[in-house]
Amino acid sequence: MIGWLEPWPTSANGALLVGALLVGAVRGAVGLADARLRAGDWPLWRCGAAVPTVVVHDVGTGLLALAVLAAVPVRWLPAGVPPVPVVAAGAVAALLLSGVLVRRRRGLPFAAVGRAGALAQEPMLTVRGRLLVRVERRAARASARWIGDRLERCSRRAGVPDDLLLPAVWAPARLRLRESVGVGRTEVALLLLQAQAVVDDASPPHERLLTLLHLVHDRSGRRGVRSVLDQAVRGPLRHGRSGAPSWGVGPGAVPGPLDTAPPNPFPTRATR
Amino acid sequence: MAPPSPSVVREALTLSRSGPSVAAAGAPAGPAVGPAGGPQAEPVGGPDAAPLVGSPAPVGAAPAGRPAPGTGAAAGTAAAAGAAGAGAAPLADAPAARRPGVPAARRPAPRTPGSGGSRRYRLRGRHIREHRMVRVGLALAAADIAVADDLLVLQVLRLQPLADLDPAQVCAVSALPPSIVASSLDRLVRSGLARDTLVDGRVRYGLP
Repeated sequence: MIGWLEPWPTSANGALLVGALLVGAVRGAVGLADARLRAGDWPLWRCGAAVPTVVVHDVGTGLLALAVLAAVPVRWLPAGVPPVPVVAAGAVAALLLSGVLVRRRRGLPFAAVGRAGALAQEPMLTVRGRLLVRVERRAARASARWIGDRLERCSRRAGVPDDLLLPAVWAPARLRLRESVGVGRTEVALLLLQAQAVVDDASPPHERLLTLLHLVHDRSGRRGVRSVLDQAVRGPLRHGRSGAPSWGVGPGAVPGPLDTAPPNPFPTRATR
Repeated sequence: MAPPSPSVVREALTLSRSGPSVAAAGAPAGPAVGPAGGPQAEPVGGPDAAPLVGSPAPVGAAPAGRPAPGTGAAAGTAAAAGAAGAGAAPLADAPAARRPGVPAARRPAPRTPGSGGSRRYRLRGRHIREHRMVRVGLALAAADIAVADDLLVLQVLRLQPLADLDPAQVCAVSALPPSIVASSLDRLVRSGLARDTLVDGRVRYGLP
């Protein structure tokens, strides 16, 4: 008898619901993890609509695989066979095969139809790949813009040009990089040499500052950048530039940390 | 007396060809000729020392083999040869006359490519003296040369083929200082291997 005319086995509903929840949860979590991997340190909720689209795409693909591998066999199941094991096997198969399906490298070559040798050329991105690239591009641009805004705000707060801000940022950045690299001597040396080369470079100080902050961002994220800039402003640049008197002028002026002369370790006869 | 060294022998042979003949002919008023005097011979001791050389030196002040300080060895040699009229004494004393502290006589300039007999258009200078040739610069400058830094920067761009990167991000990933990365990115863009895009007032680089 044709299966469509047979009644739907209601005993498979519960198993199908559990299978759908399982497949949807796993596919959604994997999609979120991939998007987060592409976004790096940048939060996912600021990456635009590509992230929920990726999740919906993955969950939909998993549910479609579950429908094909579990619901259809149950519908065509001969009489006397229990549907729950079939649904469970179909759910597992859908979970595995949908993972292979969404993570495939080559997309459907719709754009390559009619072109000779198009299939042998570079692999075409899937829809999911394009969405993840969009997430990645948006996160990279937003991170760079965020670092630039932070740096501009910091220089505005400190009231110093970039060439004076650079040595103030260098000390906490060096400490932060040193903390982020671990205990390996070679790794520490390579990272600090790279940072030192950036600071000592002949490029404009703004470029050097941006590069140093990107280095910190790569190693310790936005939290590291924020803390480095805060330390630079609160530390040596707290009272502005050391050469020019700012508000510490007059009889009741409070000298800043850079205005006070350090104690002389070699007192002469006059100072003794 | 010690047997003459090979350098003495070589100088003696050179003097026997040209120098003693001029000295023996008795030409005290003419310009002095060096040991290897030829068409490139110059006044010994420079142009300032030329009248001093030309004048006959007193025998007591500059005896044979001991030239007066300030005059070259060959000057003393030529003067002594002109005064004594014999070629034997300067032959033996020519190399021994170079004392430490006394500047040696300038040897005649070698034949350089531009010095074919003309003093006016002779090529001079440190490069001519050191290399004895003229290095003609390349008329065609190689503008775009792929160096290892360019390849490294290109690899960094290929890590994220579809996402454009800030130059500072490229620096951080490639572990290169910003000036090197800037020139590398410029070369890559001009050679068509990278693409630059203006985003938010800053140029970002990606693959074409």
